[in-house]
Amino acid sequence: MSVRQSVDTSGFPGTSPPAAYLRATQVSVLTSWFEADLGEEPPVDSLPPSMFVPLREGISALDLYFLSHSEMGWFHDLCKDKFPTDFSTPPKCPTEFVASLQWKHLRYIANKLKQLFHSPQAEPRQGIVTWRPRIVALATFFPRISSIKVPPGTPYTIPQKHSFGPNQTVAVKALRRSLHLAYLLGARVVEIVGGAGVPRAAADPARPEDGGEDYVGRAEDYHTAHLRSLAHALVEAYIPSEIPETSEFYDIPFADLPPVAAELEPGISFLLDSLPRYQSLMRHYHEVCHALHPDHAATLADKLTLNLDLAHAFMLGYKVEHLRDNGIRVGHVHASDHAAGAGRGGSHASDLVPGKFHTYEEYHPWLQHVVHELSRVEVSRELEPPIKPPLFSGYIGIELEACNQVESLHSALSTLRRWVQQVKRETPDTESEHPDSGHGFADCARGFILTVDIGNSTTAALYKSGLAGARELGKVVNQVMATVYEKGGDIISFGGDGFIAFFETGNFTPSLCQDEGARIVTEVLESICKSWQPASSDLHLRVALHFGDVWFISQGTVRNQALSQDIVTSVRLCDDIKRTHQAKQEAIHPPAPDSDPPSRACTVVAATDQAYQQLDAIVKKRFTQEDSPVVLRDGTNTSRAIWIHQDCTTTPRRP
Amino acid sequence: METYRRHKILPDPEIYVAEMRSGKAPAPKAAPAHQLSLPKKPPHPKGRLRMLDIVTDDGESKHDDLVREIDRLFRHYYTPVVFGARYRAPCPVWRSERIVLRKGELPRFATRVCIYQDHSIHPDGAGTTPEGRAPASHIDEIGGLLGFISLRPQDANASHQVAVAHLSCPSHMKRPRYHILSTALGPPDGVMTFRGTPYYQPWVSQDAAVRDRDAAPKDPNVPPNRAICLHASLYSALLLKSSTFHCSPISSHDLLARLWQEQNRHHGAISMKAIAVQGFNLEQCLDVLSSADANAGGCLETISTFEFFFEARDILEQRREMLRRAGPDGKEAPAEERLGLFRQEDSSAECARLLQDIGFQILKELGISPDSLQPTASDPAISPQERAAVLLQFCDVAEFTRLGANYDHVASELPGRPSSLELLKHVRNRRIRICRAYGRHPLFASLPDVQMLLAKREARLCMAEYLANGMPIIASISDRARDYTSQYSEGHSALIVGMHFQNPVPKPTPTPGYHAEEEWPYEKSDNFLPSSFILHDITQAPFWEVSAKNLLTASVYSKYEEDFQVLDGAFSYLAITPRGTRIGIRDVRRYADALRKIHLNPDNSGTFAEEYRKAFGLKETPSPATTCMRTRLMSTQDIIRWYIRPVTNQKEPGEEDLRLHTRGYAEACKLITSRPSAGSPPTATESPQTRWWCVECHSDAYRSSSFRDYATWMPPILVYCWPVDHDSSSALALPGSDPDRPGFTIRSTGRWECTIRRPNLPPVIFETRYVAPQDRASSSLPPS
Repeated sequence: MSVRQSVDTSGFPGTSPPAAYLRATQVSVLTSWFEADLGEEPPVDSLPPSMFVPLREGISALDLYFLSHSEMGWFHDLCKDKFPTDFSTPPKCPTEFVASLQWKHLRYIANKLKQLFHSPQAEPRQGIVTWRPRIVALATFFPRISSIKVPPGTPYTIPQKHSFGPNQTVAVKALRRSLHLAYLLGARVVEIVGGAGVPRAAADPARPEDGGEDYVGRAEDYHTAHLRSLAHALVEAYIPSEIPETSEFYDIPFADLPPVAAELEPGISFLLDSLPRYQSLMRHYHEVCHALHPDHAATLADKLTLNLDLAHAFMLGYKVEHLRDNGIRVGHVHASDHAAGAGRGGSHASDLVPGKFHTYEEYHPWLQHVVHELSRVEVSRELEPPIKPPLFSGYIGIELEACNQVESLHSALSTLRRWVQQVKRETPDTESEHPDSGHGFADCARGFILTVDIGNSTTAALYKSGLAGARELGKVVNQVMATVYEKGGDIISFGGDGFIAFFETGNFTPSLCQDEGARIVTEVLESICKSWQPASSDLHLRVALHFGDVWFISQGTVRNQALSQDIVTSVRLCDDIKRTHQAKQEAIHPPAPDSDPPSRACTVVAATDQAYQQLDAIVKKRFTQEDSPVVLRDGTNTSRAIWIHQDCTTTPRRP
Repeated sequence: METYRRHKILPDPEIYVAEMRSGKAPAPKAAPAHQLSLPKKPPHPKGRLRMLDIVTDDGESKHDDLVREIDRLFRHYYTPVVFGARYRAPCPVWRSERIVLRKGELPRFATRVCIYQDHSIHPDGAGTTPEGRAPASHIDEIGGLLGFISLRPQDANASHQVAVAHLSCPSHMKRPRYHILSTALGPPDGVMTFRGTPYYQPWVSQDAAVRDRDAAPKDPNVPPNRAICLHASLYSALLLKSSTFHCSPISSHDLLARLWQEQNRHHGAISMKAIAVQGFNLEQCLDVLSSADANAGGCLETISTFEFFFEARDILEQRREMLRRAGPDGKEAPAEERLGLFRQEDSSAECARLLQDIGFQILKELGISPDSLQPTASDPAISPQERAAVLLQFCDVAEFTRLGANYDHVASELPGRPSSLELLKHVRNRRIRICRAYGRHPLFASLPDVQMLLAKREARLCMAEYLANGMPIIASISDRARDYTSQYSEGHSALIVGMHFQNPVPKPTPTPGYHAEEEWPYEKSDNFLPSSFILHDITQAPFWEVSAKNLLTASVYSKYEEDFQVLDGAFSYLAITPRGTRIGIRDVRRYADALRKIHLNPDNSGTFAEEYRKAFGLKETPSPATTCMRTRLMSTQDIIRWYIRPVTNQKEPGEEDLRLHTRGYAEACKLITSRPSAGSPPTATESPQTRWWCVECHSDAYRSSSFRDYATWMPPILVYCWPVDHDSSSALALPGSDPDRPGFTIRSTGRWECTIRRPNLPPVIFETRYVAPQDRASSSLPPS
């Protein structure tokens, strides 16, 4: 990974900040790839194979298929270890199990998952420059969610014959728990599948709560009622109408919960079986939002997105234009292949590796839509915050249901990554509308970024001391990096005598606390300073610390890596900030209304200014004593944010 | 199977779990796939179901039903089976069933089990391979792959745990005399390809009695799905042709849902329960096939005995003439033949007299005194007809005695050593068959009998043509296929996926006796009729071989009298065809037959047939009576490639390009690829994917063995081609067009020359080098 950075561009003539960015599209793997009767559940101190095996294979982004039938027992055992009284009987139904979870259980599951994800066994650190594994989406399947019992007093009605008892309320509760777990895990979206679109042919006498469903009526009425019911269920999952049983769930504002991505499932029996049905669901959803929560309707509107499954799109036969024309917003993308297509027949059987049946030419418009349109991030001075992340999660999930083959995962990953890279190199058709779209692809994350550079290493350690000096340098770098890993950081760039580490707030629990993150990173700084005991006095350490929204470029040249150009650039920029900050502060903060159009870097600085204040206070408090081994002598603690993008192609010269 | 390869190459993911538990990686398992997770167990007591513990984790007592079910699936394989890898896998059938059942507690995936032949168990004994040696390793015990099955979860409360079975056909059906439709299975399911035929068993609640009339439903509130056999046949057929015809399978639950939506749209509100109870017929089946959900097509054909009235009458007239004439030696025909004649003419007195003669003759042979048949005191007024009937019974007894003389053979044919009761039952059934055969013997045939025979022959021909073109057939049959003596006639359906050609049956001898009813009056075509069909029947098993006679007899829907006399009958079947098909083989054959009679009539086109005779050195001029017809489903490109095959010299590759300059080639291609509008020259162009029914008229010499070497290069005399979307109703609307007019006709006018004619267009003469498709692979250049 190559990272380039720039800061407030007012100090660097010739660079213009972009008005929009394309967030880098990455590939994740849905954990439903492995499904087997293990006979015995894996122990709770290790992950189930569906998660463990991909992590071991170096796949760091997962879509967690939450509570599959083969892993339900594992989650139960996990909670039973901590809360033995709450989990006495083994679960039978995933929906009921997840609905029974309390806030403390969810928090424990999230912490435990993060801990296991970062364990040395699961995270073999195949390279120095790697991201920590993460869960980008939570996949669920609650088949009864489309038919809930609508409480009395709602401004709209659903015929009584469409209400089917308490089991549907359980499904809504389960979805709410899933949303909170996704929030705790830092997942960007929660996937659902619509329920049954047809009544049952016969009632099951063993399940009287389902009622003797013998619906006599028009099919369209049935669909309409169930879509309306599903819309009500989604609103209910975010803002419940009933009195909350525990208050912890409502400490988190619903606006912070991830959106729901509904997947269209080909099949006559499914409720969401076509794009018009999804549009109908959207209409019902907006109506319910305005009817029940008119104040929050705008926020709630962002919570329903489409989970675009490319293989299903081929089967259903809709095109990219249908999404564009109808204003359908995509929250997540699944990519696989089926040996079936609209007009070409075939069966909705197993998922295949992309490219097995449909060709790249058929995937191309979709990938172009995903890479060049869905990932587009607008930077606007009118918005607050100025950068509004897109609804799209930024990940294409590979769905290979129960294929149980690691080599198929690798095949799908390499195929899809190659295709995405191929599409990225293309110029989008809408280039004229977006003149700045050539600025490249980046991914945004919020957190602390730490630049460490061991100065004078080439001269002092290598030229003078030779092999011994190299060993010493390696020892010093290893010490510093071990500290970073221990504290939960990622090395996102490495240059032999320096690196850039990133501490994403989502990796810490609770993930929302800047203070806590700042404390941890400060501990890292202290630890580095304490462990800094080089044998050669000629070596000196330069460290820079920043907080804010950081943009990462997902691709870089090997040459940059070899020359550690980004690290050198970063450190030199830090040096420059120190000199230019005082003079330019008035110009960049705050931007005057009638001044020149503020640069986009400027808005970022403003966005992270509050964080800067806190961090500045901490750093000042800790490193102002004369006797402390503070090596922040370049004064990088005065910088405010790092804006990393590809546009800064020229390394600023050292004055 | 790819699963097998996977397990050999990569460690099983379960190893990771074990590794996590123990902290170190376990030793790789060297055992083959079928033993990965299970210890080896002694052979199953039943012999054919070894290692079933792979499927049944909790002991076998709970899974007797599953044992029986799998045993039934492989009933016609006559080989022991062994189970291979087992793993969870998606199953589209279970996917839709689960969502409709709303049973979220059931697993999302089905269990897939691979099944192989078991070579470790020999029929003679245990522990040896068929070659007689002991297996050297476990892998030697594994025979060929028989397929894989998808099992529903055990908690699904379904009477069938097997949802879909992807099976390769039994090994004895891989012989050339069998023709089994199969497809490439595996790629849609993510496993390695093998050829096989899918078999589907719909979800049926255990509480509902479906197709099992002996068992009453346990819960009257649970409606039975009355058309479940048709659902299964339709889904299996669509699965079979999904890759070739680009159609989408519709499972039973999806089918009910679609019917519910359609009924709602057209006939108002109706409940799903009512849909399930009211059933499903072939017309609805055709609608579903033609819909966008299935994306296929179908031909529903009904062959009625009424259509053969005139033909049957002509045959009987000829027969009468023959019987009335004295033989060349001056003697009259035998009494049996004359009996048949008189019976046709309804002259009872003559019949009675002849029957008496025959009876007395037989009694004399048997040494029985006729006096014992005199009227008794209790019934003095016995009429001549009744007396004849009694005698005829004796005739049957005599026949039975003649068969019974070979009693030892009968006993050896019976499986096992039958008890006397079984033997008596067997003999009784055989006697019943004999009696029936007398009732329909050609010699005793009446007009309806002959009509029925001709209708059956036509049905067999058409079904064989469909199967030969790779199109499965859903036959509407009754339960009488299973139980011949039953009069129970509830509708039933099964999928015909293959046929079996046996040796040509001998021509009927002039002596009276038992003969197959199909042997007369069409001896000529018997060699090309399948003797039996291969069925997928959910009440039986996959690959169930039924004789054509039994199947067609059971397929007749009609009214029967007490003495099994057919008043009127018809056969109905539905062939699964490509999308857009409007005309079927039955119609094009009928049209072509009528055209053939015109074109090959020596009075009309004597010169044309005569030219053909001279060109190919035939002994006699082809006529409608000496030609046979074959139907092929071909695309436009196929027609160009096969019939308008240009003359090339393949020995010199450089001349390959000259083929386009062959005389008439370009014009002929243009002629058939253009789409003429009503009465005007062609404007648009036909798609190359347009499919045609091509009816070829071959000379009988083509089939003659003495002409075999030469006839390989003999093109059909006439080829009539109809587009499959030919609509006779719309053709009627065109001015001056006939409903039976083909899209174009190819006439073979010379050795390497043909004429192609299309309505409203001038004919084109082109050179061709036709090679029969079945001979093309092995053929070289023809003799110049």
